[in-house]
Amino acid sequence: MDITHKVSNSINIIQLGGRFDAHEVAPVVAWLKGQAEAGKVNLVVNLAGVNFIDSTALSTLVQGLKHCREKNGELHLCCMQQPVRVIFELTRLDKAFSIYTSEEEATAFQA
Amino acid sequence: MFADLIHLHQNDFQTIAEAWIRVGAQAIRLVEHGEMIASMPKDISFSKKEIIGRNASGSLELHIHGMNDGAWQSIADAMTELFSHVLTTETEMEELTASLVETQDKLVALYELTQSARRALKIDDLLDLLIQESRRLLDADGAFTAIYFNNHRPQIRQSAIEPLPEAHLHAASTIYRKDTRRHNFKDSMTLPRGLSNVIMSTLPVRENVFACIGVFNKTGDFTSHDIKLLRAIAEQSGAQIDNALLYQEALARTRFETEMDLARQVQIALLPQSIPTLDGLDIYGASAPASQVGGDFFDIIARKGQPLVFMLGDITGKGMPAALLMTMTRTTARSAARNMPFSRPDQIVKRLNTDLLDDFSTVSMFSTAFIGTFDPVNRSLLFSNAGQSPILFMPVQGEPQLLEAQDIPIGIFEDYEYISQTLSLVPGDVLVAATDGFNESRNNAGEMFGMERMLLALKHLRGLSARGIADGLFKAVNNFSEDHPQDDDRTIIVLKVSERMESVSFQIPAGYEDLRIAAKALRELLMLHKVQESVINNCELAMQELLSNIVEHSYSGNKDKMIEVRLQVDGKRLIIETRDSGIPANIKLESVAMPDPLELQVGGYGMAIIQALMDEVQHQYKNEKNLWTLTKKI
Repeated sequence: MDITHKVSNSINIIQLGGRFDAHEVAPVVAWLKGQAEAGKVNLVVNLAGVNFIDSTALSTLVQGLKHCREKNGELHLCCMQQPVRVIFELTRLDKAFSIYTSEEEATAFQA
Repeated sequence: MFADLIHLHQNDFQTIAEAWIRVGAQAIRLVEHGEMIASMPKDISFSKKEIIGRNASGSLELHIHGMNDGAWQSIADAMTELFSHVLTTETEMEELTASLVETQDKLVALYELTQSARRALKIDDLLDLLIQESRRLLDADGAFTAIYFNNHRPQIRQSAIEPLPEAHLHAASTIYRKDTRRHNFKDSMTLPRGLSNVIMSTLPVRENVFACIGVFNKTGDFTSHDIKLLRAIAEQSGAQIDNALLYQEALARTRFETEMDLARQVQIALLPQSIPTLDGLDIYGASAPASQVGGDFFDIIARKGQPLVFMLGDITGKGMPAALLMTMTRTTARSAARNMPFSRPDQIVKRLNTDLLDDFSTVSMFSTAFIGTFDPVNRSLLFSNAGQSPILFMPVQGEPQLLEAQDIPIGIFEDYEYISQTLSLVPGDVLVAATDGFNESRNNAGEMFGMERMLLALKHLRGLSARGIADGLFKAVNNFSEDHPQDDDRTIIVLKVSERMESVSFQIPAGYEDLRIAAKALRELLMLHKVQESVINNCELAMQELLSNIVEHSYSGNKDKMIEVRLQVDGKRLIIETRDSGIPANIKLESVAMPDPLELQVGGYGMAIIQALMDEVQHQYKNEKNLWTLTKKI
């Protein structure tokens, strides 16, 4: 999986690419943990490059969302490809997350 | 011969003698054939004067001494005649009694023999009893029986104080067999050594078997009574021997049939019990043996990483010899195909020819064979045809054709160089290798099924699977021959090149990164079948969820453990099967539900996703393995 870190509007963004599955979740889990420890509670996960997501990855994102919300923050998702969006709809997690079509929208909301 | 009997009539003689003496005779004598058999008084000197009375035959004379008056002559003659009559009657009585006693003896002996014989079911026991009793009843040193089942050597049994070589008894029975009117032999010149005398009688058994009994080496000679008794014994025993022969044959036949049945079962068990599956090739083989054991064989051998080998053959002839050679040929072929690395068909056939030539030549038999290998990667068929027919090739486009045999059968020439031919196949091509039990089947009118009918049937069946084609050809030939009994084995192998890969099986280690391998295989298979991208994605995710579950829960991430995966496209369905030997999955499939999204549940999505994406989800724990089956219409 390709991972890029980015800060925009003082919001930490992680850009993911490729398969986001059980085998690839570890760096994302680590990043989320690091953000929580640093007190960063508003985060964006850009899924633009992700063409495959499985339940382990979903659980990882749900875990991150829970942490952020506990601290009155939010974990935003953006730029989902169609196959990934399908899975969110299937699991109805599209109802739980704030999902944006672009990174700008996701960060703009924070401002 | 009256001499023995006169004592019985001593009183009568005395009465007559005294009567003569009273009328002046000095002495009376009874003379038979010039020999005195009675006289009275005993010691006298006879005077010259005498009257001689004679019976009608002149064999008996009554000499009356001391009288010469011719007037007494006729009285003397009459008295002699009367005496002769009495004595003759007495003799007859005596003989009759003797004969009655003897008859009685014989009857008792025969009765005993019959009674014992009845209990002897086995032919050898019966014959032994017969010769022992005959020997005893006829008071001879030995007895024997000879049974000629064919024209050559008889089966001999004997009972004797000093047993003779079988050859001598064989010789004696042969002399008798040449002319059964002669039955009493006592000429030591014509008899084999060791036989001083012998009497023979025919045992009346069925027509095509000659059997006789002989009794030999009696002190003195055999009498006509002995011969009569032996004949009576022989006549009495014939039916019993016949029964015993029948019994023995029935027993042998039953045993033979049981053995044949067993041989047939062994043969059937030797045929492949299951047909290996191969990606890219639909192959099927079957054999319908005729009622007896036969000489057809076929085999399909899948070897890991090597082309599939298939073979079919027919040993000349039928019955046990063909069956034995078939077993040998098949075993040799199988070991050649298995153990020779990268064996080409011509190498296998050559090896068969080399290994079996001696055995085939010894019994003047041979075997036809068709051996092929199929490489699914480049779809090339390599084959050697050692005299096998019919081999029918049905290209997906074009007319069916007969592939003539290029080489001679196995077991004829040493060092014959067999060749392999190549046939490049395309999906839909069909090859049928069969034995002549198909095309040479006959109906009740005596017509042959023939190649034309076979090709025509094949043309109609070409659209079916390999098994469908084989079943169809069996049916066609059965319909044609109606109730005409199947004369020969019918064996067939059908190959049909698959339009596309139907299935793929592999194993992956229980690590998350290795699940990619399965995903790639699944995508490739489904893309080959031109399945929609979105459906492929769904199937991939469902499989991913299943495999992750196994890695996490069943094997706890132990990468040394393996997961078996089989992906199959069966018509319009995808079937994903996995097997793992980890912890039994403890899950109630029916109560799995998608977690409420607002509860932000971490986990619990996997199985729910699988159920949402697939049409059927099954789990079984069997033989210490988790078996998962996911099915999806595609």
